[in-house]
Amino acid sequence: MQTVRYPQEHMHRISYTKLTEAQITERLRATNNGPSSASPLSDALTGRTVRIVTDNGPALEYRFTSSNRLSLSENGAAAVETGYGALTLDRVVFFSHMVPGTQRGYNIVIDQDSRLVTVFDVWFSGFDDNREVQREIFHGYVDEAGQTPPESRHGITNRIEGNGFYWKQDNGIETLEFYPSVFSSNFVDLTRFGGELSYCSPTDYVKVTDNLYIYARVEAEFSGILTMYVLDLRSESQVGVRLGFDETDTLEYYVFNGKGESVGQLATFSPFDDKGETIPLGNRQIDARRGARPVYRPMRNDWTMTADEVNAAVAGNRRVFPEGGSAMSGNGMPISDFLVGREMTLRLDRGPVVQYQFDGIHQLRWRREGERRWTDERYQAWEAMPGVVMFGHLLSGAPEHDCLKIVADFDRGLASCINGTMGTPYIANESAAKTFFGVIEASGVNAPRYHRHEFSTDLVGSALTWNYSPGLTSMHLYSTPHSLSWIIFLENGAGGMEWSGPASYVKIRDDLYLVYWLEEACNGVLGTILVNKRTMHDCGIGYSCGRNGLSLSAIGAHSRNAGKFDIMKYFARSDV
Amino acid sequence: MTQGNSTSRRAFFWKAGAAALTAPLAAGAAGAVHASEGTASSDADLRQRLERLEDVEAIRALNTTLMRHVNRGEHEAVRALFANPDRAIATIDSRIARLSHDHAASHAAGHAVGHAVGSSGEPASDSDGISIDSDGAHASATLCCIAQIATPLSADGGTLAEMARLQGTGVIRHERQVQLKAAYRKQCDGWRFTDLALPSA
Repeated sequence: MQTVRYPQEHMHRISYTKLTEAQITERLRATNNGPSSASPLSDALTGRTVRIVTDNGPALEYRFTSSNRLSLSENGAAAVETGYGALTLDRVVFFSHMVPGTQRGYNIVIDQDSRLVTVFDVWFSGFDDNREVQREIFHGYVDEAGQTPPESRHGITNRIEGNGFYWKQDNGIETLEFYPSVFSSNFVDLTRFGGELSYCSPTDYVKVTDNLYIYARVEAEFSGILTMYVLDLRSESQVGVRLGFDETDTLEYYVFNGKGESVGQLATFSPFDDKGETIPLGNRQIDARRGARPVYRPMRNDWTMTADEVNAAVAGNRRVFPEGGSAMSGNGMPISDFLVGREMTLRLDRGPVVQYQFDGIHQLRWRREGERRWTDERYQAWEAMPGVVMFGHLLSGAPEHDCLKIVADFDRGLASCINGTMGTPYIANESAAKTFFGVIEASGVNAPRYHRHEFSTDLVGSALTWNYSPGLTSMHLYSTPHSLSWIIFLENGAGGMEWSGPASYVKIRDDLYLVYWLEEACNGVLGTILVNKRTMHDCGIGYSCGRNGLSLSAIGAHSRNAGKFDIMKYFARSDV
Repeated sequence: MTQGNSTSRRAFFWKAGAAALTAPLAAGAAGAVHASEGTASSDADLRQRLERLEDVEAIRALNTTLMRHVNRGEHEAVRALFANPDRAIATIDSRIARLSHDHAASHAAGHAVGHAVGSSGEPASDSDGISIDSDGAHASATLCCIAQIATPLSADGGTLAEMARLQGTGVIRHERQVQLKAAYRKQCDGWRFTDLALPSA
């Protein structure tokens, strides 16, 4: 019996309803009763009056009449009553409520020892997409008569950058959550989405104490749901809230506690003295809109094209391994002449059979087995290990503007091929990929009958940095057996923006892996690299189509090992 | 500020009397000052030399102000330092992320950094490489600087370059010695740049 719930569509593909303000207002009426909870709510606040003062933010006076009802006066205004839910973790009380008759509410973390408070002021209908929860963070304290206000404050931090956790909430929801950035995070929803792909969302990290931190992500460009919790590094536990509308537009509003397991830590690259108390955004100007922050929204970058536009663009311009390379190959491996003068047949299982003649270091001829006519093509090749060559080329005339990216092991007669095509059911200039395994037939090569390259999970959980050329460095996080994330560094070396897409990993030899990733719902690029973990260098090929035509170009970068999350056991449990 | 109040400062000095001026000037140009002391022509000469000294100081302050605004990314303030703001050339806005004096290079070039009067007693036409034209209304300078050049990432950096630009890091930074060729014009409200050229990288 199937135990994993795979979705009809993954998050990059779901057409989330553009909920109107009226629809949201209607759905939020239920929040007057406060959030639901699978565990008993805390009565830590019951009977108390709490006055919260924030810096440059609201003054909030609460009276907690029971474990799920409160009254709130904002900035001295008349009090309103509503439902709330509170949970405790170590010295922290966390509670959440919405303000009746509005689309806003508060999620508040109180450190009972220090009296320090962090207030997440949250609201709907504050962005183009009404369903996306917005937030503004205020730090402050609990004002108590006769007590001097504390001078310190909670604040943003890089102290948990690089951490990763498996979490299981009290309602059974399981996730993997990685923090490879100081303003973004990566999550794998094992329960709701089957754990196949990872996703990235803008995220806040706030330090409460040396072991208590606030994590808050908004699934921007997806459902818009907020997941916010306080996590305790020492006990690997959490309390928090989930607020928003799921893919069926059903309100999720519940508080939860959860138990976690640290899955490890990745390396971080900011200076040792940098505590992450600011986020350096270089020349980026953040607009003055309340709650504004950098959010990567690749589907709003006007890159998508129609099929007719794609065909016209491809007919107008094809750029195949242009002289001088590109910024993505500034640290590329030397181009190899290994294939020059050779002839071979690439015989792929349940795939194409292609004959080759390599006439020069950039010129090859190909034809499908059985055809008479050869087609000239420009190619590029690299020898990643002795006898292992990666090369790629377009298939001129193919209706889907195909490319082949091939890794051929001449010592073993094995080949793997990523067949890139242009266009998906979603976007005409988004690449798709098929993986084929097979053999090469050539003079002096005895191909095996049964042995093949295979998909591998060796890399899953690993992170490698890739420096392509000066100023152009990213980190890959091989986040699930079927996806990867890429993270861009800020000027101080801390992790910044990230995105993710489907991927696969094929073991070619020990320490040599063929990796592809699709920049799904994000420029549509198919990247394919051959990762040599001995030399920490890769070679590879990018394939994309934009308004300036079809492009097949080299990739090459130097790598550093950034660590590994121990996560495979969670996927094995999920039948992956 | 200097270019805005240079006239009033000059007026104050001259009200204080030429005699009061001889002492500070003598510190740098004793022979020249004493030789012409007490004559009408020496007063005119002093006045002219003082004006030139003040012009040099005003231009030096303008240069420093430019660097401060550039380093803070205050592009509008940079534009305001130009006689024609549209001449606040693109190189200042987009390529130079930081500018600082290269004192070693200035020294090597013979610029009398920090000394407004040369050993000959003549106004320091080459102080900081600043040269005042004979009309007193135009000037030029060669500014020896360390420039941090921010070159935008190549568009063929694809998605990574796009993401880097979106988070404010879409540039490659490197420092190099540069000689900025500056031209100035004196306006009623003080000195302004008329041109500022960065040699090609």
